[in-house]
Amino acid sequence: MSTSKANNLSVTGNGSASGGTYDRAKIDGEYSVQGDLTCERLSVMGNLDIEGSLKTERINLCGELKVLGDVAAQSLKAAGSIKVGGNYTAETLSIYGELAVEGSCEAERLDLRGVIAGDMLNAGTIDIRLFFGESKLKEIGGETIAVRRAGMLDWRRLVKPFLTGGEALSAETIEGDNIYLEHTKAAAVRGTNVRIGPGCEIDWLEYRNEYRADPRSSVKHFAKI
Amino acid sequence: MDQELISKKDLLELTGISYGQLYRWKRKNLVPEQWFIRKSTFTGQETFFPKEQMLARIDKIKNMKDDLSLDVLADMFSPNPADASMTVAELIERNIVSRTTVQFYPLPQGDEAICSFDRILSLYVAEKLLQSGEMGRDEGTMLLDVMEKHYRSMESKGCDVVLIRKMGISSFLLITGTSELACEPGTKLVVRLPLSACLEELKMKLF
Repeated sequence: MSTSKANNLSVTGNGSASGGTYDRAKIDGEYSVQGDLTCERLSVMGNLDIEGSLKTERINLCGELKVLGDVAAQSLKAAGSIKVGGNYTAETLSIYGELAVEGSCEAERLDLRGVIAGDMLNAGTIDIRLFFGESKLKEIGGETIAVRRAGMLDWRRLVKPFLTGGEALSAETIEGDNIYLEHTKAAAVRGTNVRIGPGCEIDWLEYRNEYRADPRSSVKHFAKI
Repeated sequence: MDQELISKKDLLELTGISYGQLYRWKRKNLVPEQWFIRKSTFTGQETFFPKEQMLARIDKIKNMKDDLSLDVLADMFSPNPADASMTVAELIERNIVSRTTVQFYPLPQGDEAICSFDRILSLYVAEKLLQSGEMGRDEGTMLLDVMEKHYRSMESKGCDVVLIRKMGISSFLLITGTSELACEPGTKLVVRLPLSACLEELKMKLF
């Protein structure tokens, strides 16, 4: 059931609506929107399905958010899964869980613990801790890019200690100023300072200033340009 | 009209900017998406750019980024019209369009007529082409006509205005910026003018 007071959308339980513009939207339960949703703040506990685009300042998510179109949201804090059919533009993204964007994902800062999938990721600072599955991106670009495997001391490993398989990232190209990679498979890596940690397979690597590689990784070709 | 392309690697070397900067500018929409041309090479997928346009753009960004914020710059480079409208009198006063040009294509309200940004752009382009001698006075009417009818729907893609002429009969086209164009032998391609460049010039004058 939904109650609209002072132009807020507040939902507890199941339901659906045709979208619209709100000040705050708070969804506790399972809800679907047939159209575009615009609001100042969005908070979801449970599932939200938007069959249009989403425009908001802030998203707080615990659960699952699916958007068929584009998402424009300044900040996102999420534990769970976000699936976007179009492009995602943001300032900051902080995610425990899964981020899947069909189009391109642009942000000033991305912190992710979990799995990421998409076409193009362009962010100023990218900090990815691979956890719980395979990540796949076509292109990654930014100023500072770090991809690591989540540490063995991560508390989630205590919860599911056996689910540690396939934590790796694959990408076609990775380009940035400062790059650090672990457990990453890439056709081309290009950057100013490039450090390759354990478990990487890189076909082609170009660097301008500094390059170091862990002996447990394979880099087929590398060149200073 | 083949455009010379430059690879990302060469571009960065030539201009001294870093990968990070380029991605940042792309995020801020200082460099349009259409300029990123992806091609497969033996070193993996590489990105190429239209050389002249890209070098000119980077030059401008580098020169202006100390004085203006990236967001203001983005506004300046954006193909979407700035919220600017002016009266004909103001346009003449600020030397954006000459009185002669305005008199060629008069509006019913005369000097007090308010021009939308699109109209200003059309007049500005007309002014340019008249002054360079590439376009005749009557052809200007056609230009204004095609701009008025079709520019709105194409502006976001970044387009060029093209004038072709055959046996004294001329025609204006609006085509998207990166597309190629071929004419039959008897047809003369008089001019191809990228509107993005005109927009930048115009916005510089307006702000």
